[in-house]
Amino acid sequence: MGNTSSYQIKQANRYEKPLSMSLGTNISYFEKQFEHCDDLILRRITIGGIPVCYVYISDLVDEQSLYKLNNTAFMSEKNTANHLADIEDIINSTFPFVNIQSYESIHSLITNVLLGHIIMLAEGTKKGFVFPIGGVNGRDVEEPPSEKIVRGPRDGFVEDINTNIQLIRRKLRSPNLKVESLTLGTETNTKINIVYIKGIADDGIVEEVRSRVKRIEIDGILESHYIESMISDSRWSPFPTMYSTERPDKVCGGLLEGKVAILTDGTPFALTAPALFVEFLHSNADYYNGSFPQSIIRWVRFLGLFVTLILPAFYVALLTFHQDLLQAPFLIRIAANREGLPYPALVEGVFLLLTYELLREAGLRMASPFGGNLVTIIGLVIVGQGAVYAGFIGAGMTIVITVTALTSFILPNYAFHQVIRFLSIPILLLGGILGFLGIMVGLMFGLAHLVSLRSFGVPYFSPVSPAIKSGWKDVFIRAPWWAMDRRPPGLGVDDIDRAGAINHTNPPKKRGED
Amino acid sequence: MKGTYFKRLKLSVLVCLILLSNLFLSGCWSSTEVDNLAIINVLGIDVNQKGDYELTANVVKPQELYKNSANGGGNDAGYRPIIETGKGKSIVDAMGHLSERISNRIYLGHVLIVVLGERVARNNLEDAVDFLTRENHFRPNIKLLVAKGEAKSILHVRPRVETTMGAELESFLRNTKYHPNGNVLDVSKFVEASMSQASDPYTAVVNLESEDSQGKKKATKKLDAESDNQKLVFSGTGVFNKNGLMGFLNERETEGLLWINGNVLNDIVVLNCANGDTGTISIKISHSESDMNPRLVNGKPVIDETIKLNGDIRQLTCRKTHLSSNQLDDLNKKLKKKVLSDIDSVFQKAKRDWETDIFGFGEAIYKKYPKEWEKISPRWTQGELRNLKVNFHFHANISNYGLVRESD
Repeated sequence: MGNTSSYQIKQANRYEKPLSMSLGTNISYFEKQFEHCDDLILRRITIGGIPVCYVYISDLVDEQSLYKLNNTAFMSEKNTANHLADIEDIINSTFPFVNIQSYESIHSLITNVLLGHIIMLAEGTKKGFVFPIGGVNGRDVEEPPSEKIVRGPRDGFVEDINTNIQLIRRKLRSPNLKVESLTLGTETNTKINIVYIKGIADDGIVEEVRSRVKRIEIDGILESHYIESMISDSRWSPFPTMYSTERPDKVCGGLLEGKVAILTDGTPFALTAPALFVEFLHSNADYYNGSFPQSIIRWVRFLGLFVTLILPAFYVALLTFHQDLLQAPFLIRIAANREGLPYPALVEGVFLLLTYELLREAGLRMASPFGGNLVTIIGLVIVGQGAVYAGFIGAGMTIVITVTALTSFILPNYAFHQVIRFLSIPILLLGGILGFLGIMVGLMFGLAHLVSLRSFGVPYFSPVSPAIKSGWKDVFIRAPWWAMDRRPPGLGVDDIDRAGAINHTNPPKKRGED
Repeated sequence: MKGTYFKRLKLSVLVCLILLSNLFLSGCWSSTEVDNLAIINVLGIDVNQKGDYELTANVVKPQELYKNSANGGGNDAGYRPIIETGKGKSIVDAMGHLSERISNRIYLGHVLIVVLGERVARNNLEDAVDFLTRENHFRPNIKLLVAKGEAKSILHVRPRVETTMGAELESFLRNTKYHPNGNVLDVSKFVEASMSQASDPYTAVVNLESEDSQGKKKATKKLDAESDNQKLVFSGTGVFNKNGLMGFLNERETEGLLWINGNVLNDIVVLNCANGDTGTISIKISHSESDMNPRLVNGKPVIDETIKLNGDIRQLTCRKTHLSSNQLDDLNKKLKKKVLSDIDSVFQKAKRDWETDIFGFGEAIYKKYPKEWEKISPRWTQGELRNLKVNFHFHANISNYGLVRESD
């Protein structure tokens, strides 16, 4: 980043002005900055004989807390007017339990006004005081709709970052949980928190996350994906190298494994990094249920991954190149089904996949009074049935595409699900043009790409490749908790032991025996 | 900075597109849609009087087969497959002429059964085996049958139970009263046996049986018309040597062959009751195994053949029989006598008259005494096999009495 862009010069020239001693000058400066902002409130009063001015944006401030602030201000007027002359002392003695910060730069004060805090400017001081006030109209904490589980905590992140930090702090009550705060976006001034556990997370990775996030220069951050895409290791790769989740327990689980979380104000989606490929096939419910069923469910998910990726390609290749591999009765059935169909199997496959995507997207956009998801489902059924009945498309192909479309939702992470879903189309083309050879070539290229990826320096495909056998307890199976006495290796975790060596009971075999 | 990224992106996308378009240049080479295949189910190989080959194919018509597939399908009563014959100087030539008569692409990947006509089996076996080994579209586990008479006529019969002729024949073979596929060889085993010096191939025989208007059954060699009265019967075994079909074993001789191979399952053996009782005892063989053990006596190989049988009594119509252990011993002896006489009858034909080693004695000797085998192999089918001494050790165990228990 040797040369400075026009963007950076413009940013450097903004707000770089300290406060003046005169209250009137400061107020007029604020008035100028917030010109045509009718929701900015400048309330002048006197406290202890000193003229002060509260500055806040009416829509961002909770009215209840405003009343409380006013009451206390009047109380202090009565009690302390005679003893104290310095406004700072008056504030500190009036609000002993409130963390009131003071700034001298107008830039910081404006940021705080925009964050929904109340600031106070006073005559005769170069400082502005910030009264932290909770935001208004936040959504209640509820179960995240995209990541529902049967057993496990039901809280989910909300848009307000302070609530989100609170949710994490409630689960990890430790001074080692570090929350670093910074603001990104010149116009949005979005609050970002970098969260990690000191002593568990690798210092190098924390520093890497910190420096990558700080490097970002952009006018606005509206969602955590902005950050994800700007700090991920390989910018061209379609695969997500950071895990996005709405679940505080998922974030906490990651933190305990030595990961770093990035929370963004205004979105319930937090990011954790480094993310590994296998993580996208694991659900948080895996850890809250028995190891035996969850291990099997993991295998079902692996199967689901392959079905989503190659089933259409496999079917098309089977039909156009490798009829020998079918059983005779099966081949005759399929041949009977496909008799007189106008298009080759490949064209049918592509057409059906596109139809499915069209209907799905339309269903997502459709307002629920018009039917929403219901229309998608019925639409798919009618179109599929109709196409088969009219003899445009083979019945086998509709089965295959429907199974694929439904199976894709087995993948727990939405970002990952989307990537796999759309990668099935190039593999379908390869399978239709070159048969199984094409599918193999496609999968080999995909695998080579996955193995080459890194997430914050950690190989994306670890612990499978490079193979770290001690990490396999939580890859293909989910070992019981008493067996997972170590954190997953490979993340550069400093403190690898997470539990005592013997965390299971050894009851006596017979009654009366020790 | 950003400009160069996009220039590089543009370039790489362009390169990718050029590379991708190469894929399409192949034009889906070697791809065929399923509905353009003529799925041949059963293949019959004949040779006519003039010495020309006639290749008959039973081509499945899937759309006819499953006319109402939406409602569950099933075999339509009026279903007729395409049965077409091509003639040519060689089998491949005949195949070429066959394709002139069928609009779709000839597809041999799903041939289930190959039927050899009797004349081909006797005179042109080498040609047929050569064709079967060279044609790479065949699966190696196709079953090979030999027809009494023309293979063509077998192919014209309509399936009665299964949907297609191939499935019908396969199911016939799977559910014989012998061990499934007991006396049937698939193509790869047949070819292997016919190439080997130490063994000879055999396979099941299929022929036509028709009922005339009086309901009398008669074996027919030729198909008179496409009538529903004709049906297939599996009868015995065709025995080959290196030059071709030697002859047919009847049912009893086939059983003898299978006792030696240990390939009997579900066969019913009917024994007479003792002491002039007119009733019978029916025993179902539930397990059979055999062990072939050559040894040298005075430098000459001798075979020790151990046969073990398990059987269940399924029907007993003797009047005075109590199933005591003495009686069971007696039954075992009877069973042994029956088995040995079956074996003797097959030995009479195959070992003494035709001198073909369908039993695999040569193979067993070769494996154990390769040096001895080299000495005798040139005269193996000229006297050595005929004079080979075979000792039988017989263990029968009639155990289950069904659900009935005799009260003593």
